Amino acid sequence: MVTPVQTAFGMLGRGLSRLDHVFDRLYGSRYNPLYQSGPIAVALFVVLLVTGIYLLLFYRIGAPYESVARIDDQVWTGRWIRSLHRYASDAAVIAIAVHGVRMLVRGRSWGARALAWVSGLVLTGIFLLIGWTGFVMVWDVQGEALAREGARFLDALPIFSEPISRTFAGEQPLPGAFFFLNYFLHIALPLGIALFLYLHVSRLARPKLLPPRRLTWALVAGLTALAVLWPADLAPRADPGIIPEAIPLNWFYNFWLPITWRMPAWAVWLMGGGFTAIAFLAPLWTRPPKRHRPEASWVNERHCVGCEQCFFDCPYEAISMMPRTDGRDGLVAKVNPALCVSCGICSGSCAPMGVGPPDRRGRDQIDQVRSFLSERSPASDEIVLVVCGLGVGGRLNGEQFQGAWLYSLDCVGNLHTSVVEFMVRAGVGGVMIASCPERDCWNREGPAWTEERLFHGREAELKERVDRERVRYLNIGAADRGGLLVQLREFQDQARERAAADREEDIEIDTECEIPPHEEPDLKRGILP
Amino acid sequence: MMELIRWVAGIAVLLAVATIVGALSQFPVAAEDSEDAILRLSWRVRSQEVGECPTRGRDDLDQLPVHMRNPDACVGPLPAYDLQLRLNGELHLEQVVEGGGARGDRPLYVLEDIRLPPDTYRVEVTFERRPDPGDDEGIDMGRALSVDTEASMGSRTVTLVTRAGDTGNLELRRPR
Ligand code: SF4
Ligand code: SF4
Repeated sequence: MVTPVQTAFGMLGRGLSRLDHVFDRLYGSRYNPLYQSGPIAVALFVVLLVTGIYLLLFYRIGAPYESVARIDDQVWTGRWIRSLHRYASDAAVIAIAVHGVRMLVRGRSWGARALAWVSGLVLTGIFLLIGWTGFVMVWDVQGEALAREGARFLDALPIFSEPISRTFAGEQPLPGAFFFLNYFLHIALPLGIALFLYLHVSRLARPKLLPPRRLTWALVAGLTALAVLWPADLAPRADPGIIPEAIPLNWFYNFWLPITWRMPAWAVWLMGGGFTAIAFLAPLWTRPPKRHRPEASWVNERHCVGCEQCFFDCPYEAISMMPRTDGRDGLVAKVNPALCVSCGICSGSCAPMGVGPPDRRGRDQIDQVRSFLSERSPASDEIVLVVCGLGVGGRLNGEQFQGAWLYSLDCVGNLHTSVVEFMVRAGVGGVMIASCPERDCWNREGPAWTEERLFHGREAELKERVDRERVRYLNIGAADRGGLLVQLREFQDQARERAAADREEDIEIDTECEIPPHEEPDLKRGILP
Repeated sequence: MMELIRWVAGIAVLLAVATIVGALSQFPVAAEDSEDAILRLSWRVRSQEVGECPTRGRDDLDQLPVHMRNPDACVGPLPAYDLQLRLNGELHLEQVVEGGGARGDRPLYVLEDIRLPPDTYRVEVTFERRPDPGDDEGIDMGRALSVDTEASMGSRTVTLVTRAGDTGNLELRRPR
């Protein structure tokens, strides 16, 4: 049964795919910023560190607003560096939000990925806290509003004998300790970011912490241009004697202020606590029912020869190599089910087909392709389109797409190259493998490893003897049916031409030596010559 | 041609995103619709008048951790205080203020924001110790805090009633 959450996520997922498609067309899948939301957030954090160091050189705890105003007066440096600091932090919030939504909608928040989800939430919290302390450090009307609101929330807790809000009542000028505390937190909290970032990626092999260089520089250049052309305003100084009519609000960090101003503090705690609890409990409410959860990979030790390829290829470091205990020399692969997300990428890595989630190991795939070929019997001028069920394949229904036979996999990274060889040797016109864009793989490294296995000799490689003319690999976004169709048509034309040429050759052969029909190998029933 | 369109569209989207970031980074929000002024009552009193202050003997002190060995063992909650605010002679606020903290033994504090239409007001505030039911008539109730003055309160301004630094009595002034 499909739950309302799944329905909502499905709709959101389709919307995201469409947006991905638009950005793919504009910037190409390699530089599509939507695929790089996590690394972009990290790159922007680096920008914040660099610009922040400059700003801290001029910031004075004893005269917060005046020192920021002095920075703002440095037309050639301080003003745009402060603005870049501000805009980079805003862009980082967007990147974090995009990253979180993508992970949630794709169900990458439970099981072995729960640690990444929870640490990601903590990272978001720390990031926001750093931002808020930064706004308070300026001590303009926005900083004051934030501090007052924060104090109001704290006063609702039965832990202080005197309300914190009295600090801002105007009896005394604000103590230097208050600004020192903000300053200290603003500098110390980034250390927390480093720690939780480590945790966040600790279960990933080869984590990509930064986007491609060109995208990074384009981002920095774009934000710098924005900072120079449209420097962030310095709002009026905080004045406890004046009630400001309007406040220039930073909506990325402080969007909640206009809502909470009108709420009692206890209701804010209730609402905030509710949202936080829902977010932290996502690993529980987003995971599928037990019977639908994919099973972890496992190793058939009889088949494992200890080559270590699955150990290298697993994107989640779920495989380790151990000394054998069955009397044979060498190592054997072992899967840690607590770390395995059942992506199936190891299935495609094992030449002897000894590893993979149940029903997805190489041997299972051979059985499946055998029955596929015998049921569909693709002709020698027809294409088999291998699609990723998590990508474009998830949006193609039926047995065929524009005349090509659909062969859907959970993730293209599962594909064992022997399946491709089996299809080609069975006489299909061509095998087109439509993988997700490299940076958008739900299982991180499926497209990269698949392409290397097919064309660059990575274990388990597609054998030399397979005619590469009949194999086409492409990266295509989930919503890019048009792009898929263009490439498919071209490949179909080539297949038809090849088949026609083969038929002509057959005619010549037939004239010289006729083979009685009953002696021809029955390729379509999966019997290899 | 298609490539050119792609470039132009790519840059247009980039500009649009940059504009949205720039705008949302500092888009003003109405903080307060009303033109009211605020009369803020804010002060803190560390009362010396506690229930009982028996002097502890040597034996009692030895039972206590070193940092708590104070011979003046004042116990019991602080006495409550009556707070009254009159505006132009009319009672506007009346409150009983008790000691802070879970046991009521922390300093008393007052923190009230009173919204008023901008105008000139005669402001009278008194803050004095409440007589306990068992107190004899004529007991010294300690000094009351009070202020009685005219104040002109402009639109969107805050006027503070707090204790003066030199006398300790209440005064009206601008917050700082
Ligand atoms: S790839 Fe296969 S043979 Fe190699 S270590 Fe892994 S399970 Fe063993
Ligand atoms: S299915 Fe294989 S590759 Fe994927 S996480 Fe599990 S062990 Fe690693």
